[in-house]
This record gives sequence, structure tokens and C-alpha cells, in this order.
Amino acid sequence: MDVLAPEATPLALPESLLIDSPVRAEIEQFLYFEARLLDDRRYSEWLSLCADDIFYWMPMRRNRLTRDRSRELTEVGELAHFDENKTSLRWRVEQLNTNLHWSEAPPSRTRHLVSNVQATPAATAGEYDVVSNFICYRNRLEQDVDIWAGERRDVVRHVAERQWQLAKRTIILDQNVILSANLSVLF
Amino acid sequence: MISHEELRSYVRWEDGLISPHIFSSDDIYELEMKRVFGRSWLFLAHDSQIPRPGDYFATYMGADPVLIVRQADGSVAAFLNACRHRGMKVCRGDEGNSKAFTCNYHGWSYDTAGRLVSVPSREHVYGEDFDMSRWGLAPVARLDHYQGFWFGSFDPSIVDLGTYLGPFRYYMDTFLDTMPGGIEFIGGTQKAMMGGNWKFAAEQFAGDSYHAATSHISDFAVTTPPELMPVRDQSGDHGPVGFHQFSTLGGHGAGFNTTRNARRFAAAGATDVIDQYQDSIEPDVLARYGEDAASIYRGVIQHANVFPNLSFLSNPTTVRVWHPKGPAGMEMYSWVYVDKDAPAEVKDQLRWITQHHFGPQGLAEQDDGENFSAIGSNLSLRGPETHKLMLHYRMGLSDTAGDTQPAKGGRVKGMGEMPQRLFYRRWLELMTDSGE
Repeated sequence: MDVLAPEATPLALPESLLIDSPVRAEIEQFLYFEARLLDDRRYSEWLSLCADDIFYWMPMRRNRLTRDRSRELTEVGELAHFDENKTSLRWRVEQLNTNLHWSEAPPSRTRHLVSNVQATPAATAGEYDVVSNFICYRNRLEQDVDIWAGERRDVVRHVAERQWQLAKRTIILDQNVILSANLSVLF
Repeated sequence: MISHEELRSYVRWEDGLISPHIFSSDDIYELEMKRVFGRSWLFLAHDSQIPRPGDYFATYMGADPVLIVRQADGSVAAFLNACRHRGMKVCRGDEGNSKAFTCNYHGWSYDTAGRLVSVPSREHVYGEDFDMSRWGLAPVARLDHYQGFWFGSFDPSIVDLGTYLGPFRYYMDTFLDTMPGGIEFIGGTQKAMMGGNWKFAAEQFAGDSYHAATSHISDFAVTTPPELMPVRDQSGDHGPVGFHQFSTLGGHGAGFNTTRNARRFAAAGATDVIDQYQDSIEPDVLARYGEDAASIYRGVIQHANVFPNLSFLSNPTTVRVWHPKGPAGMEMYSWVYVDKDAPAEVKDQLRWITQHHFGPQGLAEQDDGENFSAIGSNLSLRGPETHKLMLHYRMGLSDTAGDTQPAKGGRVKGMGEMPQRLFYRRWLELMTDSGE
């Protein structure tokens, strides 16, 4: 049992989280910016925020008993809900733009909410590990409602002044069985 | 209680007319759990999912929760995942390895064979005469396997699995038994809930090659290069060139295309390693099964369903089950299979491309989820006028029903809805058999 002793001192905020606030603010704005593009259905512009070497991955989450707990997430190379590179993300964006993709035609109404942003410098200069929580609300047709909540573990890369790209995104969705008719939205 | 006459009026399979009632009625759903799911062979798990003693996989047989567990002697046991004391699930993991299954309500504990082995304070609270041997987990009446696929049935008098599969085995062999090592499932079970009745998905995999051109037009538009599109040449007999359908009185069905680039069309976007690998296997298939089966392997099984709810595709390589969840809901369990002895690169490409077309995120299957769910919600209010409609299952109505070739089942060229009609013929046969 992992229980704090009475005399334990408060857990300190990791120093790595205390990066310059202008950088942190810009990273947060980048996350809001890309969320806005998705909600505004500006998918091609969203795709420009994905690096050519992006790895965009949503593993599956399994109910595991105590001794198998470490195997909750599927691993890279096993089945995943998303396992994307730039080519397959482009397929998804092009598909959304066909107006023949019936899951999104007529289009859904989505709202991507991003919060709890924590950014730390990554090992590579100009890259940051950014963890955030999200809720994506989708309302479509007459009464269809889906709510996806989860965590994203991103690597964001500073490319040029005011230009950032996603180099990596791991999406930890808080669902075991996917509860929506499809996953036709991007996270 | 719904009468047999009423059921027959809803399923006029000879005329190709089906009533929406069978997709929306609570009474019909409850009856089919007993008469269809209670009397069929149902897929549980593949050998590769439970290789070691104590490995288990939690699934469903119709509406009943079931555990399948590898035994110490290499055999397999399956039983209801419901404690005999209050009906609690004794295993709440999806898959894993365990020495015992202990209910977390009162602590009754069962071994991997389902025997009750421990009851807290047993002698004090139940006395000396409590007979633990009578209160094990309820076993699934029959277990059998084919090509590493384990099936269970609640019907103790059901025919053996080989007889049940009948000529479907011929088609299974062409995509599951091409390499000496057989196939394996890649790790992970993808689970997704969709609205709509389970039969929409099962009948689609049995016989519906017709929907793809419309439902999946946006997948083709973005993944499929023009040189692969001639496979959609509609100038063949009743549809695409090289297309055939299989159906059988057992209710199983499949559609396949024997033109060489059909499989590349079906797995568009994959790298050439899959194609090169499959070309290299083809002579073995030819040697083992002959030209007819090799022509199916050379092309592709574009859809297949084992009655009632186990579906396959041979490229991309997926296996899935449609678990019924009430008249207007189904849960898909989906897997990717690969030849066990295939190179790692081939396995990885098959996994990647399969999951890019199929699954709730698949470029194709997203829109199946949309369509199934939308039909489900359209029928869910049971509008009386909508339910007066008889839905049109009449494509290829003049095709001959039945097992015209004992080893290969009934076969027709081109598209048609004979597999769907025979699916519902079998469904009606079971539904109107009161067992008396």
C-alpha cells in the first residue's frame, strides 16, 4: 500500500514544469489553435500543423486484473484505435473533405476542450513534451451525442517564429469499448 | 409470445421480403437469444489468444457472458462468467492469465476449470453438507475447434462443428490454412458499440458486396489509385468482373473476387510487401487445394459470415463478432489475423492496413457504423407505417438456392442477395422450432 507517512512533506512541483511562461503560453495557444481549426472544420490547415514524421497513436485500453495491470494499454505494433503517419492522416483529412464520408456528411458539431496543460522541455532542442487533458463533444444529426474524454501526450516542435508542429501525439482515451458509432473525429 | 405464423410473415425469404420488426422487436430479440444463439455454434476465441495455461478471454455467447480458459493439459474450458451465488461476474478482466476466478461480492472462488474450490466460512455459514461439486460455474455444453478457432454451443445435441460449417470450411481453408503454421491473432481486441441490430452487420458480411460502392466511396476516393479501380468494372455477370457469391442452407455466406488485383484493391494503401508475400504463397495454395481455391486466394474474400455472427475478410485480414446488445445495439469485437510464419514486416503491414480500412476508425467501416446506427435509430420508435414496409432483399431472386455443390456450397456469379436470403431462411428455421 502506497500511503504517505504523517510527516511527509508536500510533493514538490517538478522543476521541469516551471519553464518560461511566454513559451508555455505559446504552447497553450498552439493547442487551442489546432483545436479551433478542428471545430471549424479547417482540416487541411490542421494537417499543416502535423510534422512530416508525425506518429499519431491511440492505443486500446483493457480491463486488466491486478497482476496484469501493466498491460492495460496495447503496445506499439499491437492493435490500436489510431496508428497514423502523415500519409494516413492526409487520407483522413481528404476523406473528411470529400463530402461523401457519411459519418461526417452532414457534418458533426464538435467542441474540443483542452485543459491541464503541462509542458516540459524535451531532449531535442526546440521540442517540448506536452501533456493535456481533453474532452471532445460531438453532436450530430438530430439527437446523436458522443463525449470522448482522455489525455494527450504530445511532442510539439518549434519550427519558426509563431510556427509549431505536432511531432508526436499519443491519445489515451478513457473508454474500453468505443461507445460511438465510429471515430470519425480527430483528437 | 410471438407466433410462428407472425415470424413467417416477417421473413418471406423466398420472395426476398423482410419486415423491419425482426430488427426492432424486444420479443423477437429475446426469442432469438434462446432459439438462434442458444442453438448455434458461436465463436469464442482463437488458440493464439490463450496460448498458456491459465490464459483467459472474456466474451459473450449471445446475451450470456462467457469465459474461455486454457487448461493445464492444453485443453480449453468455457463457462458462464456468472457466480452461482448471486450472478456476479467472477472475472472482470477482458483477458489475461489467472490461477482462479474469485467473485468480489462474497468471495466464492473457482479454479480455471470452473470448479468451485473455495467458499469463505463455508462450514460455519452453510454447515457440513454443502456440496461444492454441485455449484461450479455453468459449463458451455459443447466446445469444438476448426483452424484454431474455438466455438461453443449451449445446445448439447448440436451437430459437430465440421458438419455445421459444412462447405464454408472450403473458403476458410483458402485464407486460414495457407501456411503450415496456420494463422495467429495480433495482440489486442478492438471493441466498439454501434447502434442497430446485430443482423445488419452479419447479413452484410454474408452477402452485401453491393453497399461498398456507395457506403465506402470516400475511402476509395482517398486510398485507391486509378489502376486498381478497374476491378470495379461492372460489366461482369450481375456486377463486378470476377465476382462470385457463396451461400449455403446453413446460413453462411461469402462474396469473393478472383481477379488478380482484387486483393490489392481491397487493401489499397498497403505497401507491396503484402502482395509480394501473397504471390509467393500462391503456388502452395495451388498445390494443396487446386486451381479453384488458388483463384480465390489470388483474388480476395471480400466478405464472409459464419451463421450467426462471426465475420471474416481475407484481405485486409480481419475476424470479427457482432455481439447482440438489445434489438437496437451491437458490440463488435474485431481482430487482425496474419500467417504465423509470415515475415514481421508483412504482419505489421497487414495490421496497419486492416486497421486503416476496418474498425470504428477505419476509412471504410466508420461509415458502416454510421449506417447501422442510423437504421437502428430510424426503426427504434417502431413507427407503424415504417413497420408495414417489407424491405427489398430481391437481388438475384432467380438464383438457385441451396447447396448445389456439396463441397463448395451454392455459388453464383456476380452480386446478389442469396446469401442474405439463406441467412434469414436459417434464422427463421431456428426461430420457428419450438423444440417440442
